[in-house]
Amino acid sequence: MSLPKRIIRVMPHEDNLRYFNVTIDGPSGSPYEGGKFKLELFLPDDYPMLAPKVRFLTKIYHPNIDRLGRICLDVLKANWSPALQVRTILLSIQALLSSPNPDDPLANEVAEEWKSNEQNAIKTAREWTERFAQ
Amino acid sequence: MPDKKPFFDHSSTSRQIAQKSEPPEKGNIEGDDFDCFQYELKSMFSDIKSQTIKHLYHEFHDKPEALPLAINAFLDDPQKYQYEDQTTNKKDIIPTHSDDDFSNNVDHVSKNTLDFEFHTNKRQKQPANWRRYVGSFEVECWCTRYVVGLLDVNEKVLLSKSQSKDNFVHVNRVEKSGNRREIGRILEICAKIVAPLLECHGIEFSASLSPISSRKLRTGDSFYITLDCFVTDQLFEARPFDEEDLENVLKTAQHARSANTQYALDKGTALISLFKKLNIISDDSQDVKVKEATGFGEPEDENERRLQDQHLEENDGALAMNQLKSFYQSTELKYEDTLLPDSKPNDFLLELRPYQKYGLSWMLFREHEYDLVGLNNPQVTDERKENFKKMMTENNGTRNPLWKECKWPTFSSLSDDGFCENTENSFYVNLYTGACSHYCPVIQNHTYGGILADEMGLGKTITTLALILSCHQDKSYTQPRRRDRYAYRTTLVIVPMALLSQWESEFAKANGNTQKKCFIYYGSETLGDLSLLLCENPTAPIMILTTYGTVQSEAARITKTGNRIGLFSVTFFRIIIDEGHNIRNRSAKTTKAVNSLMSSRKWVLTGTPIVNRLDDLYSLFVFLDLQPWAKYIIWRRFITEPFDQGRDLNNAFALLKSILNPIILRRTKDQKDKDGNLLVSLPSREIIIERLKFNEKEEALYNHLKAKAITVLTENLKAGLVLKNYSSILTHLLRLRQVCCHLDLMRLSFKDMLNEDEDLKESSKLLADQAVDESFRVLQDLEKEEEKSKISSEQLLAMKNEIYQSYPDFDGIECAICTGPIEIETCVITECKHCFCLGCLMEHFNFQSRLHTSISASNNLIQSPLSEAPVISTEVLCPVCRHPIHKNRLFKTFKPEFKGCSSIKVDDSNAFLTQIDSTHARNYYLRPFNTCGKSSKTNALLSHLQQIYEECPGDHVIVFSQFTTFLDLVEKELRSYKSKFRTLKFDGRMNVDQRQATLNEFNTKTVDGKITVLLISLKAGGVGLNLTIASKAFLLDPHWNNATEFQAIDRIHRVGQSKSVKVVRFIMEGSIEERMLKIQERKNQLGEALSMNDEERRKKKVEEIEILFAD
Repeated sequence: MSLPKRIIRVMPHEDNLRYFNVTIDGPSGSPYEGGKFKLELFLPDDYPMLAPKVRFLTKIYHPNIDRLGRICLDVLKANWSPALQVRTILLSIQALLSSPNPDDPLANEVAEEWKSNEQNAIKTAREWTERFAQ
Repeated sequence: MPDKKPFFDHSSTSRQIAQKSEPPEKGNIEGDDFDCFQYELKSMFSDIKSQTIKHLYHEFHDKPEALPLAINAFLDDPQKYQYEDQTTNKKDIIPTHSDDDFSNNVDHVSKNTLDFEFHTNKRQKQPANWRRYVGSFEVECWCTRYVVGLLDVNEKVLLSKSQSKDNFVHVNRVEKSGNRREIGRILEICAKIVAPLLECHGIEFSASLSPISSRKLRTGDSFYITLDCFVTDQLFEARPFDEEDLENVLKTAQHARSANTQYALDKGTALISLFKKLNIISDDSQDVKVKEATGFGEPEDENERRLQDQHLEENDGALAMNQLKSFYQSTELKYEDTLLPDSKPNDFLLELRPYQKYGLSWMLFREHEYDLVGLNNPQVTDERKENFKKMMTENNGTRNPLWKECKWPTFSSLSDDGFCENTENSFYVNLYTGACSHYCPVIQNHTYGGILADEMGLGKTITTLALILSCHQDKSYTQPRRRDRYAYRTTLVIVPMALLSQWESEFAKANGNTQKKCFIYYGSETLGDLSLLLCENPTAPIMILTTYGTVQSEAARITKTGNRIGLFSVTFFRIIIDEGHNIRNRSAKTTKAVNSLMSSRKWVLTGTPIVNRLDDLYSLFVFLDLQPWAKYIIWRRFITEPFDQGRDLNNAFALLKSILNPIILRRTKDQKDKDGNLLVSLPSREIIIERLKFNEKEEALYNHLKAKAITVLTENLKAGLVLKNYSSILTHLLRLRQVCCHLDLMRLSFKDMLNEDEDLKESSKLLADQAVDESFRVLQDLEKEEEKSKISSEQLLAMKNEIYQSYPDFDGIECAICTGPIEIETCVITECKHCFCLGCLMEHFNFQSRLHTSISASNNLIQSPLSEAPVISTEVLCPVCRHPIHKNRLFKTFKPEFKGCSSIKVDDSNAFLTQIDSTHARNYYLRPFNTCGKSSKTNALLSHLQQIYEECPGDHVIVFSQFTTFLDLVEKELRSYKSKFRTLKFDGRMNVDQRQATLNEFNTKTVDGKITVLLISLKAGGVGLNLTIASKAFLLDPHWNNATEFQAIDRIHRVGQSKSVKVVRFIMEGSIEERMLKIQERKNQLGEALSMNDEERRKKKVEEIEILFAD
C-alpha cells in the first residue's frame, strides 16, 4: 500500500519568504488529472487582512483562468477573510479545477467553448494538460 | 689709524648710506677733489655711472681715506647705487616734510620715494614730535583725467579730501609748476577709511604711485597707489574717549546725528579699519588678551574654533543656536583652570562636592573676602598664592574690554623719528571709538557679586547656602547704628514661590549654628519696618527668604504711599535672586522692584542666564549694577545692535565674553573634573515619544475642529489678518490640543479654558464661545450615534449568556486570524460568538474601513473582476462566518480577579453588570467592549501605570500636563483605582502650605506597593522642584518650547537621582501635536533664542501657524 499521495506542495522561495512555489496535482476525474500545475503565491504586506496573490505558471485550459494564469475565485477577492489561510485558498483552487464555472468566466473564449461544446473543451483541456503540465 | 674701517665693513657703510642716501645736489660736488675721485673710480670700474660717482663722492669726500672707503662701499654692495639709473629722469619734487629721508630707512619702502606730508585746505597740521611707520598698503584708484607719459613708478602724489563729499579722496599730482592737479580718486571702499583720517591728527599718509602697466591712463582706468602709514604722538594726545563720554555721544547721536559726532565716530571706525588693514589689530574675534587678563579661562577647544571660523565664513547675520552654544561654552569654566584654593565653609553641615567648593571660593573671591578663600586650607602652594595675588589685583579692576592691545609693528631696520619717550612695544586702541592710549585702560570693579550660572542640578542652592553661612555679615561695618538702616548681617534671598519651602528646609539641613537663623518674609509675615529687626541687632536672622511676588507687591505699595517700608526700608548685606531669569524683562514690574532693593553685595543664581535673547543678560547686569554695561544705551550700541544687525558680530561676541568672564561662573553636567570624572554623574536618561492613535470619536471631533480651524486660518491668511486675529487662531489651536488630550475638555466653559493658555486674550472670548458650543454639539452628535449602534441592555444579558454557554471555559481558544492562542486579557468576542485577539480584530476593522474609504475616494467604481482591490461592502463582516460585526457590539473577556478595577477599555457605566458575572464559577467573565474609552491618552497612561504597578510596586511616578483641567480628569480616573495608585496633584491653584504638604506626601514611600503618582502642571511645577524620588515621568502633551519640557524632565533627572530615568512623551499620531514637535525642532535649529526683531518674530509666528496646518 502506497502512502497517501500529497496533492499540493508548497515551497517558500529562498530569497523572499513571502513568496512561495506551489504545485497542485490535477484532481482525479477532471480533465486535468495527471497534470502537475505550477503556481506562484505571494503574501502581500497586509496579509492576512488582504488575500494572498496567486497565479498559475503552467498553461491551463480553464474558463476561470486566463492566459496569464490569473484566477477568478471569490475568496481571492471580495470574499477573502482573514480567517482563511493559504491552505484553504489552495484547496479552493484545486476544487476550481474539478468544477469549472463557465458562467463566471475569466477566459471568455474558453468559457464559450465550454458552454457550446463541452466535450470538445474537455478534450482540449486534457490535451493541454498532457502538453504543458507534465 | 683709529677710525680706519676694516676692508669690508658692511654694517658701517650701509648704515651711513642709509642715513644719507639723498642724491646730492649738483652744485655741491664741483671741484678738483671730485675730478680726481672720478678719475680714480673710472679707471677701476669702466662702466660706473657718473651719478654713482657723484653719490660716492658726496658720501665719502670729507673722510681722510675717501677713495678706499668709496671703493669698498661700491664693491660691497653695488646694488645700493644702482637706483641712480632709474631716477635719472626723476622729476624735481619739492620735499615739504622735514624728515624727508625717513622713508628710505625702511627696507620695504622704495628708497627713492620722497616723502610728503599731505595737506588739506582747511587745517594746517602741527608738526609732530615723533612719528612711527606702521605699515603700507595699496589702494585702488580710478583715473579722472587723461594722463599720458611721465608717470613714474613711485612718483609721489598728494591726497586731499573733497570739500563737498565726505568720502572723496582726490589723488593729486604735483606738476613742475608746483600746481597740484587731480589725476584720480581713491575707490569708495578705501576712501571711506582714508578720508576721515586725512584730517585727523595722529595719522599721516605718504602716497606714491604703484607700477602701472601702460604708460598712460584714460579717464576711468584704474591704477594703484601705495600708502605708507605713520602714527604720530598726536594720536595719543587726545583725551581718551571714555565710557561717560561715550554714553553722552550715543545719546546725542540718537537724537540728532550732529556732524561733529558723526565725524568722531567715523574717525574711530576708519582708524580701526586702517589698523586692521595693516594687521595691527588682528581681525580675530578671539580676544586672547582678555583671557590672560581675567584669569578665567575660556575653553579653546577645536569645536569652538570651528564655530568661530564658521562665523567668519558666514560673516553675517543672526546669532544662531550654535553661537549661543559657543557663548555658553565660553562662559564655562575649565576645571584645570581652577586657580582658587578650595574653601571650607563655616557652620555648614552638608558635604560640598569639589566643584561646589570651588564655586564657594569663587563667590567669596568675588566678594573680596580673600581671608575666607582658602584660609582653612594649609596646602596652598606658593605658586598658587602668587596666582591668587595676581587675581586679587585683577579682581579690583579688569581691563576695559572695549580696548584692545596692539603691538607696535616691528620692521627689520627700525628707525623712527624722535620716537624715544615711548619704549613699550604695544599700545591700546578702543575698538569702538578709535581712541588710542599707551596705557591699559581699566574698569574699576565696584560689583561685589556676580552670576552663578551652573547648570540645573549642580547644586547652586547648596553652594549659595555655604556662602551665606560662611560669610554672613559685613565685617567692615563695626559700629552698627540703627539710623544707617544697614542690615549688615542679613542676606535677602528672593525665590519663586514654589521654591520657598525647599530653600527653608535646605537651610535647616545645612545650618550648623543655632545662632544663625532664617526668617521667611512672606504673606502675613511681612512687617512694616525691618530696621528694627535687622539693624543693630546681633541676633538678626542671617537669611531672609522672600518671593518675587512679595517684593513686587511691596514695591507697588511704596509707589502708592511713598514710604519706604518692609524690604525697602533697609540696605541688605547681600541680595541673592534665585532663578534670576525671572527678572529678564527689564520693563516688568518685578524687575524694577527687585532692582530698587538695596544691598552691598548681589548675586544672581540661574541655570539659563539667556532665556530668549541677549537683552535677558542686560537685566541681570542692571541688577548687579555692572557699569558701564548697565547703561542701556551703551549696552544697545555694543551688544544688542551688533547682534541684531549682524555687523561686527565677532567683536560684539568677544566683548560680551570678556564682560561676562570675570563675573559669571558656569559649570555643566558634562564637564569633567581634574581626574576626568564628570562633575555630576547622572544615571542615564531615556526619552521615548509614544505615538498614540486617536479613537474614532476623537478622530471625528478632531477632524471637524481641524477643518474649522483651517477655514478660519485661510480666511485670515487671505485677508492678511493672521496676527490681528492671532488669539482666535490660538483658540482653535488650543481646541485641537485639547481634543488630543481628552474629549471631556471640550465640555469646559471658556473661562476655564482661558486659564489654560496664557496666550489667549479676552478679545477672542465671543468667538471661542461659539467654537465651544459647536464642538460640544459635534461631540454630542457623535455620542448619540454611538449609543444607537450599541447593544441594548436587554439584549446584552441574553447575548452574554449565549456566549457563556458556547464557551463554558476560557481554555484553548484560538484567534481565527493569527491562529494563535488568545489570552483572556486580549480576547474579544463578536456577536456571532467568534473569538479574536483584540489586536487582530482591530486591525481587521481598520483595514476594512481604510479599504472602504480609499475605494469610495477613487471614483473608479467599475470593478473589473481582475481589479486588484476587492469589492467590499461598507459593512465589516466576521472573518469566520461573514456575519456583519460592529466595533460597538463586541464583548471583552476579563479575568475574574479584576473585579472591575483596572480594565483599560471598560466603560464604568456598565460596571454593575460585572457583579452578576462574578457569581458564576467561570474562569473569565464578559463585559461589553468599549472601543473608545475616555481618552486615548488616559488609556495609554493607565496601561503604563498598570505595568509599573506589576513590575516595580511602590514606585513613584510624575505626570506632567499643561492643562490643569486635564490633570483633574486624570486624577479622577486614577482615583478609581485606589488599590493600586496613590494620586497626588500639584498645580498653580495651591498655596504654599498645600504645595509643601503634597511634596512631603510624595516623598514618603507607600507600604502596600501602591504606585505614587504626582500630577504636576507644567507651569507650576516645571522649574525648581526636586523630585528625585521618582525615576519615571510622563509628559501628556507637548509644549511649544522644548526647553520647558526638558526643564520638567530635570525635576527627576538631577543630582540625587540614583536610578536610570525613563520619560514617555505622549503624542497623538497625525495631530497638531506632531506639528508641535516639528516647531520645537525648528526652534532649536533657528536658535530663536537670540537676535530677532519684532518684525521677524511676527513673520515667524505666521510661519509656525502655517506649519501647524500644512498638509
